[in-house]
Amino acid sequence: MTSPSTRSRPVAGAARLRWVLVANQIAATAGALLVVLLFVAVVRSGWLLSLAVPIGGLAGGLGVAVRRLDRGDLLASLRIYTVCTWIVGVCVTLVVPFIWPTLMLTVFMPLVLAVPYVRRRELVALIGTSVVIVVAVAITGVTEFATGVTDQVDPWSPWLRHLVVVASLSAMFVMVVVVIWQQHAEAEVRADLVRHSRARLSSVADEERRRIERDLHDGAQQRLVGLAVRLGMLSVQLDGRQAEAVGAMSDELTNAIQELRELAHGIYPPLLANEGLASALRAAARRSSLPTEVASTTTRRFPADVETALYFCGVEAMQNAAKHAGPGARVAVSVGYRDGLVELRVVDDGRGLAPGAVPHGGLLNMQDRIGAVGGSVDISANPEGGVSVVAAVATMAT
Amino acid sequence: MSESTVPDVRVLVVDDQASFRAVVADLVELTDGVVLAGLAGDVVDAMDQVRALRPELVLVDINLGMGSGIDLTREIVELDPTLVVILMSTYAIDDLPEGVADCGARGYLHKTALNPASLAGLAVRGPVGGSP
Repeated sequence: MTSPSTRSRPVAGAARLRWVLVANQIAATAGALLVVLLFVAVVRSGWLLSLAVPIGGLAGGLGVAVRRLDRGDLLASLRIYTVCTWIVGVCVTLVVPFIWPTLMLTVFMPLVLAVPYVRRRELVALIGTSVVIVVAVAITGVTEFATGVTDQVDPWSPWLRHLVVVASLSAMFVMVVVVIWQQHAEAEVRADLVRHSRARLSSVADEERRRIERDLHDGAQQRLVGLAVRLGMLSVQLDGRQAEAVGAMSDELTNAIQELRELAHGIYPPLLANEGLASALRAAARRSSLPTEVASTTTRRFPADVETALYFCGVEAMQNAAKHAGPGARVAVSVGYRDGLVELRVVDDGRGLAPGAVPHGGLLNMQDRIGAVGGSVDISANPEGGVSVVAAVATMAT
Repeated sequence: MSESTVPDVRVLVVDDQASFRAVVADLVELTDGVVLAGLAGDVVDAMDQVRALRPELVLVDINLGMGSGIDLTREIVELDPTLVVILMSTYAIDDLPEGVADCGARGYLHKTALNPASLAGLAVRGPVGGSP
């Protein structure tokens, strides 16, 4: 077996595939030895010995497949395994037709194993070929096409036949379980990778936003504000037309400062970093066109990415309520922390959800943000009217 | 035309941005009834100058580099409650941190509201800007 030091390029899923191949190799080697033992001890049939050849060949082929895998070529490794398995499956059927049930399963295994590693087109080709081979094995087995070892019928009494079939099926069943286990592990690892990548991206994006807001505030905004004050000083020293002109400049500058502040605020509200989720939501609530109350049962702070996700989700929910709940509706926002779960609720008592009326963009945004920090968001209609948005994230308070 | 016999109010300006300190220094010079006592860029420097000069009016930027303006305000008021501390910043009133209301500051002024008239008002009557 190749040692870890000969592995050059790590391939996703290679480690898990490797031990499936190695397990197969051990099984094939054991099988070949068993065949030789049967030849020596039970039935001296040339056919039987000739079985040892393909099975031994399978063990060898698997060795090659493992080496290719270690060199980083996962697809080539899979193809070698697949072709070897098919060849052996057909050969063994020719020699020992009565274990065709096991062999049908055996020649199907490469397809199952290949699922996480191949693209759709190759999968279709695999399915097609597998079906052909499975049918060939079945027909060969049932019709006892090339009767091989069963010609020397004597030692193959029925109980021995059954024993062989049951033993080989059991062995195959174990292999199936092994492969299924490996597939599941593969799926989980991939899901994890995606989850982490998503969280990282979201976190990087939020860092950027905080930095931009900081830079805007400390840089451009400060300069403009300083300029505005200087213009104010200038205007008191002038009269008439000049004072008017400077006054007009001052007004424009004030507008620019206001717009810059709104921009920075939309990018990342300063209160969120300084005071936390509840404070920032209170400030956002004051801007809402609907009367909005914010209540918080906790004063804890949470990791920045969690607070950011919940904040923007809350703002989105409040904006949706302002757009859809109708005039006269009221909004209640609450933040709570219990049993390691932060929960944000935005509940309004307005018109409620028309079926399918949730704005897709907004919902997707909320789901993306909350999902990226490992939480979930649920939107539902209240029995008494209105809409509830509930976002929950499992986290530790900081 | 400055007011007659009332001595000029001495103002200490605390802001972590040098350019803004310069702006306020010029504003003070332009405003009747106030005179510049000093400029400070951080909490330590500010407390030193407060202890040394006891300025009647202290303008404090809420967002100082290290240590917030709110904490500084508390320190100043604890040292000498007769000193008038006015907080200033570029944040909208909605975005103000929650310590503003009870840190001992007499008022809050948005920086764009700084002009000779408002400054003179602060010196004479107390805060004219938004109160926390």
